[in-house]
Amino acid sequence: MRHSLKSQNKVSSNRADFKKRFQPYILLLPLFIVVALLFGYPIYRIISGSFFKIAIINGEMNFVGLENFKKVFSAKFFLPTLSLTFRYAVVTVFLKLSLGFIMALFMNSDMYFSKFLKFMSLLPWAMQQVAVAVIWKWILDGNYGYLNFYLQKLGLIHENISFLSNPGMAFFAASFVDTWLGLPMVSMIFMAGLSNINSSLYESAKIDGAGVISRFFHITCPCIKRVFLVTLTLVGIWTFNSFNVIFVLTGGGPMRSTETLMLKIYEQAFSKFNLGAAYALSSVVVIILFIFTMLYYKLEVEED
Amino acid sequence: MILRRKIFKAIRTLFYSVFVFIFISPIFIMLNTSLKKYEDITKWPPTWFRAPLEWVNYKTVLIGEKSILPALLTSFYVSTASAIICLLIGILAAYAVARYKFKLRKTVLLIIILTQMFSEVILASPIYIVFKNLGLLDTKLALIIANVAVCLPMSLWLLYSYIKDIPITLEEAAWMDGATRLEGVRFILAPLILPGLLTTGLFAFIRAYGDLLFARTFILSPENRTVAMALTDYQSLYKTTWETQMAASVITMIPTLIIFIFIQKFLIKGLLGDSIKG
Repeated sequence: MRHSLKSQNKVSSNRADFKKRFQPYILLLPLFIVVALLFGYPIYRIISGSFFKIAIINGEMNFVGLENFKKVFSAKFFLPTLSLTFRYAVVTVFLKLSLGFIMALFMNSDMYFSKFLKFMSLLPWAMQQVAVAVIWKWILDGNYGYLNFYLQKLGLIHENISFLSNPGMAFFAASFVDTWLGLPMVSMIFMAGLSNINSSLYESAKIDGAGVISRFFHITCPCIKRVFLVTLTLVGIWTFNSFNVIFVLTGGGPMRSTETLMLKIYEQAFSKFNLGAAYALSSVVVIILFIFTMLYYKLEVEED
Repeated sequence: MILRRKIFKAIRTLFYSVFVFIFISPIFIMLNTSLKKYEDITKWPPTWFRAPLEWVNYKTVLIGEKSILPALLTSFYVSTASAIICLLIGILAAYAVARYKFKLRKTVLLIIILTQMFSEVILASPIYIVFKNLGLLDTKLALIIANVAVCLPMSLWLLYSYIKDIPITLEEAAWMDGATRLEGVRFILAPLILPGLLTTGLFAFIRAYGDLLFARTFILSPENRTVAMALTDYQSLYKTTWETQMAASVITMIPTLIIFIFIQKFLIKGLLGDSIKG
């Protein structure tokens, strides 16, 4: 009797153990399906497809080895596009992070109507991305744009600037609009980081006679460093992937001055129907972003 | 001392208010332009909200020939469905990663982070092949599935960090009192991460709502068109009628704004990950 009770206990504890070990996998099953179907298979298609010449009409595939890569790397557009993409990412990420950080410092400080101002700062995030690009297209218009009018009124410029048809200007215009759209998110992430800093640190530094600037460099900066690095990699990935705003605002022009890798891939895949080249370029992007992502992984997971 | 502090507070408020005013001025410009006649748009200097306001622009956009309403409904339906599916899949997976110790835990975290780097541009054409094989092209379901794919990594990551921040001891105490795991989630965890849950849902909604590429790639028939497509249509059809385009843009902002206001109480808290501090 005693013996059977004991063994029964053992069986049920074994079963509980079994259940406990498999519970997480059951919970993860839907995720695994999505990842396999919508990431795993597509990535397999991209990587394998980059070694084939693919006929768009019947999907016929001919193995061409590294031909696609050779063609893409030796194409006249490749290096300029790559460098443009990096310049775009660097300028835009810099704007997003610096302005976002300043906004976060304000939002985290003691202000009147603080809640209202925070809410208002979030508004661009609520906008449809195509709508954002359309509105800015109107604001930046070379003939009747509001920006031209107010810049002249302030005496900063003397005649109309065609922000979107001058190659150098269009680059900064696209970067600026991208920044405008991204700022609410970036400033919120920074604000979360700042609000997590223990306020007693500031209090004791104050008692020790540290001024505002010294407190900023000796408490705020070290405490926010990790959040800053994580945001840098994350915003880097997002900006590298920017498509909607540039596509609607400039369409990659004028004279390809805003044609980043993303727009190039889109062009190759959907208007030139050159899938082999699109996949080869995609593979390049995947490798670049993989490096960013591993940095992010190191920062976020390894330190857990 | 207190006075000095109040003065600084007022200066900060003033400074930031001016900044926010300039920051969101594009929205005023959009509203202003949407209420003008075509002839007045190109007049310099630009006037601000001068009567008579042309509400007829909104009428054109809403019930005119090229009404944006069907597209708005489609977008709303697709984005809401994507957000809900994201939350369901996300919360199961996030709970598993945050609350269980198992062999593949780190691998799963790595997969979640890796999937975050793939954008619509890279995924669109291979996913097109998947949908073609499944016979899903030109359906709303295709849009929902594709949007779930790109929204899920971020949603999952957010949910994971929200759950991780709630001490497991709270649930353990409930288990001691005889509650099951599910009851622990239902009565202890869920109320605590509610702000995070709603914020994550909003994230997914906005991402899906902003999608242009999947819609352009997968959708052909007019009844499945989304807001993003409808807006680009205005661009080619009425090349210079900025007033209807602005009116359409204002209308596309409404669904997100309604959600914003609806979850306002939780939004900032959720964004700051402050769920537990109340």
